[in-house]
Amino acid sequence: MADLREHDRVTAADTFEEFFEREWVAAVRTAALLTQDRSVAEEIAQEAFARVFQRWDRIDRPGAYLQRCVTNGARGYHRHRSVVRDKLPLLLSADDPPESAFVADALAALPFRQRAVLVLRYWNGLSERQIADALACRPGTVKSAHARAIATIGEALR
Amino acid sequence: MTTKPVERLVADVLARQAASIDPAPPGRLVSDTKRPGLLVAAVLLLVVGVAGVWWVPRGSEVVTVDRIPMVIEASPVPRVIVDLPGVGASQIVETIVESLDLVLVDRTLRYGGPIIRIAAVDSSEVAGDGVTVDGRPARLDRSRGTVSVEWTSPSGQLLVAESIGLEVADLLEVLAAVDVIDGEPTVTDPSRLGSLTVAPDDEVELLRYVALLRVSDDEGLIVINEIDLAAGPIEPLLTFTIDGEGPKERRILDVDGQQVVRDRHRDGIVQFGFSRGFWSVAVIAYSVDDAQVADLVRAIRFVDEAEFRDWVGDRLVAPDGLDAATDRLVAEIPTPDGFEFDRSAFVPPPPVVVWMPTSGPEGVSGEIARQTICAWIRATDDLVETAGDVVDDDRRDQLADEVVASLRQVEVVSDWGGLSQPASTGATRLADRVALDGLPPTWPDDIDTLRRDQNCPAP
Repeated sequence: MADLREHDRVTAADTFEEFFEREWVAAVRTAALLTQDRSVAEEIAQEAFARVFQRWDRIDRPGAYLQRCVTNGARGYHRHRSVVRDKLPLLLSADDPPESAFVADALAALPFRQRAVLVLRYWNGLSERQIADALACRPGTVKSAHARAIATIGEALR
Repeated sequence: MTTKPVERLVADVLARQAASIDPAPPGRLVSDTKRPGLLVAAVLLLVVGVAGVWWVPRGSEVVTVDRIPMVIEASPVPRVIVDLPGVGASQIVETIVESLDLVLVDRTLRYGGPIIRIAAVDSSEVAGDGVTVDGRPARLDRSRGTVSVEWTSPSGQLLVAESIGLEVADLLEVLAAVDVIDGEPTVTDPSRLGSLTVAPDDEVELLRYVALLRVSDDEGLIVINEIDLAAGPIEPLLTFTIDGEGPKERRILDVDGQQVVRDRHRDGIVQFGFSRGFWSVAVIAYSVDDAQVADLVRAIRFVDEAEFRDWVGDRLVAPDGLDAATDRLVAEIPTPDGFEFDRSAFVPPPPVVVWMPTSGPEGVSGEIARQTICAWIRATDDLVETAGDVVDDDRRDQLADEVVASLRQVEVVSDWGGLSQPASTGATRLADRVALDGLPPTWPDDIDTLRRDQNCPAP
C-alpha cells in the first residue's frame, strides 16, 4: 500500500533525489495518519527527508530510516499537542460505510503509540518487528498496543 | 453495527484517509540541477523559514553553477561576540583558522554552496603527484567527497585548499587565482575564478567554522555554554540532540523580526539557533527562559577578527597555548554543592578537539541524568505492563517516590575519575524536578526510546 513499507527497495544505484521523489507522497501520508493533522504532515516529512539526506551515505536502509524519522517527527508533534484531538478532516463521503466515521473517531482518539501501530501495520504494511523498529520498542509492546487499539475501536463500534 | 472484522475496517479507513491526502509533488523541492546541496537547502529553508539578511559580497564575480547564477567571493569568517551588559567572556577557547574562504552564494535560494577553504601551511615544498595549479606542481587527495590540494603559490608560500563538491578541474582553476599577500591567502585575479560545476553525486556539506565560547555573567553563572557559527543555512538546528534525547519542547520565537528556533530539553539545556546573513548561529545555554533567549539573540554580534581579539583580550587561546589554558580552566571549573573535585586526578582530553570547558560538572550531571532516566525505566517497566498507557495521578506520585528511592541507591561516578557525586544529590534534584514539572505526560511512550538512547539495561 505504502512505498515506505518496502525498506529494501533502495539500491546502491538510487540517488537521494530518486528516493525522495518516490517516497515523498507515502511519507506525507504516513505523517498525516500518525498525527491526524494534515497541516503538519508535509513539515514532518520534509524534516525526515532532511535527516535522511544528512546520512544518505552512511545508512544501509534509507526506507527504514525514513520510516523512523517520520514516526519520531509525528511522535514529537503528538507530545506538543494539546489534549484536544481533531479527527483528520478528510475523507468520509456519503458513499463511505457508516461505521467508517466511528472508526475514524476512534483512531483519532487513540494514544499515539496505539495509533502508530495500526497505521504502520494496516497502511504501511509493516511486520510486527518492523513496527517495533520504527517505534523503538519491543515487539511484545507492539503486540499489546495492537490488541488494546483493536479492542478500543471494537468497543466504539458496539 | 458491522460484521466486518475491526482490522479490515481500520485498514479501509486508513486507506480512505491516505487517499484523501494529496501532498504537493516533491518536484517543487528539487532543483532541476539534481544537486543535493540545493535540495537540502531548500528543505531546510522551507522547514524553518528563516529569513536571512542577504549577505552582500564585495568585489565579487558572477559565475554560473549548473546554469544557476552564483557569486563567488572571498569571505572573512566573522567572529561572534555576546554584547550584553553584565555578561562577559569569562573563558574562551576558539579555533583560529587563518584562511581564505571562497563562498558560493545562490541569489535565489540564499544558499551558500560549496566552500573552498585555503590556508597557508608550514612546509618546505610540495611533492607533486601529477596535477598542477597554473603550471606549478600540486598534490591532490580525495576523501569522502572532500578534495584537498597542496600547492605552492606564485610567491613561494605553500598553500592547502579543501573543497567539497566541486569538480577538480574547476577547483584547480580557482586556486590559480590565489596568491599570498602580506602573509594572507588572497584572490589576486578574480577574473580567473571562472565557471564552476558541482560534482553531481557528491554529498555537499558545508565546512563549519566553530567558535566555542563560554560566557558567564558577573556572578559567574554560565549563561552560554557554546556558540557554534556555521557557514550556510541552519543545518545545526536540525541536528540538535543531546545524548540522543530529543527536545522537550520546540518553539519558534520572533525576536525583532528574527525567527529563532528554540529547543528546551528535559535537563534544563536550552538550544536556540538562527540565521544571520550567510551564517547560522547555534547556541547551547542553560536554564534561560525565552525572554533571556531574546536578549541573547539581540546581544550576539558578528565582528571582524580585530574586534573579536579586542573583546577576548588575553583570554584568547591559540593552539599552542591550549595546555596552559586547560590548566587555567580546570582551576576555574565551578564546583557545585555536593561535588568533590580532585583536580590532581583530572586528565584533560587530548587537544584534537577543542576542549569545551563546561563539559566538566555538566558532563557529570549528564551521567546523573542518564542514571536518573534508567532508574525511571526500571521503576516503570512493571507499571507499563500492568497499567497500560493510562496512569492516574496517584500512581504517578507513587512512581516518583519509588524512583527517588531507587536513585538513592545509584552510585554516580564520572568517567573522568576525578569527580564524583553522592547519589542522594541526584535523587534530590530529581525529586525537585518531579515536584516542579511532574513526570512527562507521555512518559510511557518514551520508555523504550529512552532505554535505548540512554543505554539502560534491558528489563
